[in-house]
Amino acid sequence: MEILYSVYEVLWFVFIVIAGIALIEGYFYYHFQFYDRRWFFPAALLGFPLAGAAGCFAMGLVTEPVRIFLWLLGSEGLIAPFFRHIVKGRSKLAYLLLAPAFIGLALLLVYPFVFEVYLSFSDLKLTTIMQWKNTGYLPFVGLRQYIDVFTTSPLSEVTFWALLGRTLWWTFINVFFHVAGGFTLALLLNNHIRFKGFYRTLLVIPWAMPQVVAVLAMRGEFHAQYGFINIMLGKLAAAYPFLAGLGLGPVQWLSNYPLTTCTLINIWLGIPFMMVVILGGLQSISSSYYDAADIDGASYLQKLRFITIPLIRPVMMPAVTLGTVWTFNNINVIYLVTGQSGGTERADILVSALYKAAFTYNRYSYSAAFAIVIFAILFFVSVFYLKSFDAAKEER
Amino acid sequence: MGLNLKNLIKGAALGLFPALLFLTSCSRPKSPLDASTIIVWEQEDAQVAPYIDSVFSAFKRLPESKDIRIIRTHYQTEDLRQQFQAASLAGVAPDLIMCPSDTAGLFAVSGFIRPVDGLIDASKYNKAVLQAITLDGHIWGVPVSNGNHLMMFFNKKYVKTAPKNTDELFKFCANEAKAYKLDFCMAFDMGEPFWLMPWLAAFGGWPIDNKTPTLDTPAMRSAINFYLDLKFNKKYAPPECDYNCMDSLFKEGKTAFIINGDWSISGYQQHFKRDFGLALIPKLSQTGLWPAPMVSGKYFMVSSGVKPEKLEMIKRLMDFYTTSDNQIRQFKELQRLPALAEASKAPEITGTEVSRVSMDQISKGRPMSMATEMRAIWDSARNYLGLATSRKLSVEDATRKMQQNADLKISEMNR
Repeated sequence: MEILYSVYEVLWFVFIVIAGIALIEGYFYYHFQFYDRRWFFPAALLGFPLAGAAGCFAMGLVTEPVRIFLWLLGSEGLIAPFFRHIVKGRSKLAYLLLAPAFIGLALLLVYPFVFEVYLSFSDLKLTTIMQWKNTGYLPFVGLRQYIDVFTTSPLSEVTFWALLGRTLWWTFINVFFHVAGGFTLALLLNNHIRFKGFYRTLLVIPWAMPQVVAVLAMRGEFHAQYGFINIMLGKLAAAYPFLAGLGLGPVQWLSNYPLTTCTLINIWLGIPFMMVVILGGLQSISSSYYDAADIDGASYLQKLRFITIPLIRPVMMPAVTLGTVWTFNNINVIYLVTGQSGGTERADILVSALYKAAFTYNRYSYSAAFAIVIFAILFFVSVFYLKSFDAAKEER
Repeated sequence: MGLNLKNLIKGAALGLFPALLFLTSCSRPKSPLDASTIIVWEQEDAQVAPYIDSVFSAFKRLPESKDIRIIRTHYQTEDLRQQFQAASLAGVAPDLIMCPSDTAGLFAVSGFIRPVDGLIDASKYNKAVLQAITLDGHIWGVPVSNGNHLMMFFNKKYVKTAPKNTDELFKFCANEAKAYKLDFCMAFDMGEPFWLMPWLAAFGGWPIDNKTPTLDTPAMRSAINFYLDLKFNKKYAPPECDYNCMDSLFKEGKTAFIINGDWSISGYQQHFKRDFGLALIPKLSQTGLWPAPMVSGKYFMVSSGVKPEKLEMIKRLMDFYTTSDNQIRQFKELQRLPALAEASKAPEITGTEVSRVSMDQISKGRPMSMATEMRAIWDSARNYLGLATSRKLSVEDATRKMQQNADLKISEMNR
């Protein structure tokens, strides 16, 4: 019976989505189609707010229909003139097709973001959470949470600024090796070699595997006594004593070098993505460039510098931007590698510290401000990347 | 442009149709969840589910409960916390949750659960299990089982008689363990402060006094030095070993002893069969004190959103679940010790080695505080314990900073 009810609920949800889309389409169709009619304004200003308020009241979403009516009237008072005087029914079909996506984005991205900003200026924490639920009121604290983000830290030993420096370093090192490793492997795979498909499959495995499995498997390999890495280091040091003299030997990776361990694992995980993207870029370069270069007597390095690198740059830039954002925000590797060992702070980056603030200390507003700061940093980094890419394109 | 009736009708139809469609669709189908339905969320392991369902079925067979429906939903531990928090905020929380006490403080302070003072007879339960769910003078959950405590387990293939104190333990480690060529004599998760607590108590300390962290103490310094000695001087314990590592070492026969929780007993029994032994964590010879693991249990917690007319029904379910008979059955099927004092004395419970030793260990343990301040204590202790035992920080500096940081984090949480 419960299963049937669950199926019923899912179908009902699908029906709500379809009905919602129909409603949105109908609303926009009206504004696009009848914007120039005499009755457009009176019908829009009266009909939509009235229907909206009545609908919300009937569904029990609001208890004060007049208030919602006035709110909708105000909104429609802006929307209707916009359609009559600015849009004027142009590109009707395109916008009608895009409308559900716009609304979806607004609900899934814009609303949470706006709410996050609201939270960051309030004081939501363990002791105020129920007050917020019951009254809908949260104390406004101005910029206090933002000041706290820069002056305090969710961690014990590491300040926000040190954490930021560590995160930038972590991101740079990872992305650098992702690109370098991915580029090298892609160049190798782009040659005419036997069993290319087999190699490609092998190299893509870390990326194709669920990240949790891959990270936990690698974590085991870094175990001080039973991990593959230390066993190999031990054997090498035993076979070649001069290496032991240079300091090579087993180390306690997880206890003494947690960030290095995370970095090595993340590099291993990230190379296949870059390799696949760069390989796609390499295969799209016409062989005629290389033929021409061969006729001119260009060396391998010259072809690489003057043909390959410039022509894969359009593919590389979005991949590097994405890689930067993903690495900057990569909590999985840090959490899974260091989560159960002592001294975890030594591998924390901004997002893992944010997780601690939100879920260990339940400082929700502080965490919201922290998240906005991280967002701002990533936003400027991404804009900088894209601008430098545009500048490089213009130079060419 | 004159009024075009056809267009007007067309426009109205276009607007009205989707609106009606939307309104109709939003009038949600009638839910089967009515006043006679109890919704329970739990975070138990898969093998526990049949037992829970069997008790619920037995409850529903009672004449006065024949109209009651119980819907049980399983979550992972962390998911249960997050989902219950989200559902409480959305006003759709389950009536009951069944989980350990460590998140109870969070739920109590947030107002997501209600005290059960008037719903149970507190005198019927074991004292420690009740203390672990008491905060600010209120009881916040109905104890379902007792324990969640650490004990010592050993492999009978190597150990014939369990050591009673650390001198005996170390003697075994120095002689027999070497003769058996074990990788390590003992293994336990030295990175998690939960495993440090028994030893801290054996040195005369405890991490919290009421709601104040007590970490920078001679006892804490002695406990960390004890760890360092085990790891680096005596080399009886692995220098780097988390939960999975210690579990594997023990199961693979690479270590003779392990300190683990009572939740792992049934797994080890199945794995080792007749070679499985369990004992109290040995008395610390240096101080003559018994290590005191933290003790709590599993509890029913009642959502603060439960309507008064439903409370009686929920109370009956909780009473039924924790009757003496069911508590004994729970032990037989799940090896979980009863929370009910009367059931703890039943021959079925006192008659087996597992329960006898486990109860003895509980009696030497101390209730785990459910104060939210514990979150800062765990976090701070974990970090500085790691730094001290990896020799990145001296023991004195580590304990001083452990205390300072816990104080700071608590003040930030409460600001």
